Amino acid sequence: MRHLHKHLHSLLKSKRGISLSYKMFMWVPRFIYTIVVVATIFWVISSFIMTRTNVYDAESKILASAAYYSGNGFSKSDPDTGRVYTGVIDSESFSTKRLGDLLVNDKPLIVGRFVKKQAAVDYQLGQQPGQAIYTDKDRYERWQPLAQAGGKGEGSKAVYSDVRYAAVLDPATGRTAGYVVETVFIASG
Amino acid sequence: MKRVCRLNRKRGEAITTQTGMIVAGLVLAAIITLTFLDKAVNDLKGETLEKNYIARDIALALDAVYAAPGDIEYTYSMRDYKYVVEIRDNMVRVRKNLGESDNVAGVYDYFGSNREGSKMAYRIIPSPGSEAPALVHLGNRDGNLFVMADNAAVERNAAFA
Repeated sequence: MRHLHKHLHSLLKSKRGISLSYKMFMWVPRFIYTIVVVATIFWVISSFIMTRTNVYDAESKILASAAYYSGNGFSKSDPDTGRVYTGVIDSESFSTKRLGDLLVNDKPLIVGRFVKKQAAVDYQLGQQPGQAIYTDKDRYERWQPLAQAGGKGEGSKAVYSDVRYAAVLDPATGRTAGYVVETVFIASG
Repeated sequence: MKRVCRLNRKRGEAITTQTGMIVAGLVLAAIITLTFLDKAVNDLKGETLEKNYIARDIALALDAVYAAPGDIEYTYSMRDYKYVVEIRDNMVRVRKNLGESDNVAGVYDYFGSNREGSKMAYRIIPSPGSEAPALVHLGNRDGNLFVMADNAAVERNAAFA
C-alpha cells in the first residue's frame, strides 16, 4: 500500500502524470457531449413522429356552448325547476365573474372572449355599447396580438371564432332585445 | 525471477486509463439511451398518439358533460385499449400501466367546478383478462361530475401519486 501511494505520488508529480491527468480531465467534456448527442438523436427521431392531436376547434365550441347551456352560465334559468332557457341571456349573468366561476379551473392553452353586441335593427333604434367578458382577460390581451400576427409553429396562437344570435333579458324591465354574441377563443400551439 | 507487471509501464498505464474511460463513456451512453428508449419506442409504436387521443377524447367529453343543462350520463367505450385512466386535479392522464411516468402518458385538461364536494379523483383500471371493452360512464348530477366504469376497477379518491 505504501509502495502504491509512493508510486502514485511520484506519477502525479512527473511530466507523465501531468499528461495523464489532463487526458483524464478531457473525458469530462466528452461525457457531456455524449449526453448531448444521444439526447439530440432521440429528439430528432421523435420530432418526425406525430403524437399530438389538435382538438382546439372542437374544444372552443364546447367551451362556448358551456356558457350558453350550463345552469351556471349566462343563460336565463328558472330557479325553481332548474330549466335553462338557452338562447335567452340574462344580462345580470353576462359578466366576467360569472364566466370565471363557471370555467374556474383554467385551461392553460386556451382562453376566450364573449362580446355581446346589439342586433342591427335594435342598433338603429337606439345604440347601446357592446359588452365583453373573458375567461382570462390578462392572458387574452397578451395573446391577441400574437394571434393577429398569424404565425405558425411552436408558441403560435390560433383563433377559433363563433357567432350566435341570442335574446338578452333585462331583469329590471323584463324586456328582451336581440343581440349578436361573438365568441373568440385563442389557443396556444 | 522478477515478475514484470506490464500495467505499471508507461504504455500499459495509458492503455488501461483510456480503455477505462471508453468503457465508462459507453456505459453512460447506454444509460441515456435506455432512458430515452422507452419514450422513443412508445412514439414509434403509436402508443403515445393513442394515449394522447384518448386523453383528449375523455377530457372533451367531460367538458361537454359539465356544460350540459341538468343531469346527464355519457358512456365512453375504451374499445380494445387496456390503458389506465386517471381523472384528478382537472386533468385526464392515460397510461399503459400504473407505473408509467407522466412523460410518456397522454395528458389533457378538462374544466370543472371548484365547489365543495365537486373535486374528482378517480383511477380506472381495465380488467386484464376481460375481452369486453371497458366502459367509462361520465356524468353530471346536480352540477357535480362523477365517473363510473364497467369491466374495469374504479378507485375513487385514492391517495395515488
